[in-house]
Amino acid sequence: MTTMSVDRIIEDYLGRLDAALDRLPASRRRQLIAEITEHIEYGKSQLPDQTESAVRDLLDRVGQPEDIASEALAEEPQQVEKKLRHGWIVATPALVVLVLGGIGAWAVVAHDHQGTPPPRHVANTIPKTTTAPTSAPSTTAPTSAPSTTAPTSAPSTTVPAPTGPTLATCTSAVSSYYIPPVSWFDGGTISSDQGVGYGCMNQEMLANAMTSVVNAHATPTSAGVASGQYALNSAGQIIVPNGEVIALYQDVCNVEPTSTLCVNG
Amino acid sequence: MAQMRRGAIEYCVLALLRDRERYGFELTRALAESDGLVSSEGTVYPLLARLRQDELVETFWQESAQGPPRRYYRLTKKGREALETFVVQWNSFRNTVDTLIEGGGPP
Repeated sequence: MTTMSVDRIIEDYLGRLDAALDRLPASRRRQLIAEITEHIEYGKSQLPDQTESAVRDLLDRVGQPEDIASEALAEEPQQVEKKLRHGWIVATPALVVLVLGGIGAWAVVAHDHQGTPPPRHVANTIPKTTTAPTSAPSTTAPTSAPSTTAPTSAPSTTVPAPTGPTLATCTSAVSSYYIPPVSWFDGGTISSDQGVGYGCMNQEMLANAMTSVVNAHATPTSAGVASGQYALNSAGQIIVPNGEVIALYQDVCNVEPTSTLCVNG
Repeated sequence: MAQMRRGAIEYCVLALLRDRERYGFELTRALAESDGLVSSEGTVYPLLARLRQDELVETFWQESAQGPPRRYYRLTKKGREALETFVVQWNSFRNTVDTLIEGGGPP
């Protein structure tokens, strides 16, 4: 059993845990994963031989991800209920917009068909490709976020990077990334989710943590773009470290039209 | 019994922290090795999160000579007071139950 395959077993376990904790509020979920990751890494460092059986025994002692999730949900029923309610609050207007948008689009298409011949090719104004890197970033995620083409006059608002374990304190497979504080515009208020701030986790987990927070809220903020919590690519898409598109630049400016990023952009 | 165990575990955590701070691994292993108290080490962390949220415990990082920095848990003033209150109530409760079980209750 090689070191890499042992690390893979741990990664798989943490992936299962991440999925099992899906119903928890994002910050709690990240906090719990960070603590259990620390637990596993410490336990692993104490093993005389890091064999597959020893690591599996360690994970057995930690427990089944589903049991941990069940315990976590039992400890936080109010928060989960709140999250579910929030999901409906966000989803319901979105559904209405989607339905109305669909009706509107149908009306426009129907009108075009009556007056002019349909275009031979309708270009997608928002390309699907992104400029996000797929390789592992460096140990400090705020500076390892995808390169951005945001206007140089972007506001200087930054959220201090949290301190925590560095790559040297984590295994090669479960690399260390900062989870930057994520800010969002949520119905008139700009908020920030500090979460645990950091932890030993791989790029996929980092991206999941970022997107789960962003998906739980309305729109990322221009300050978030400026501080590298999200990146802005040349297509005007707001993306998280794995390159996933989470919003459009225009969406941010629609809710923050007076921000420096939008005024000067 | 499960409900009683669940209610008691958090005070067991506070009791483990009464005399000194402990890091997560040490704390959860001590609880997991106490017969029948918790099903696994990982299930203690949601409880620790709640205790921290309730300001009964707090965490801090400390360098370790044997590896990476560790997150330690320690009792807060509020946590110490909660533990002291529980100890009084528990002793009374335990004595009552013991009396009933061993002697069959008052004549």
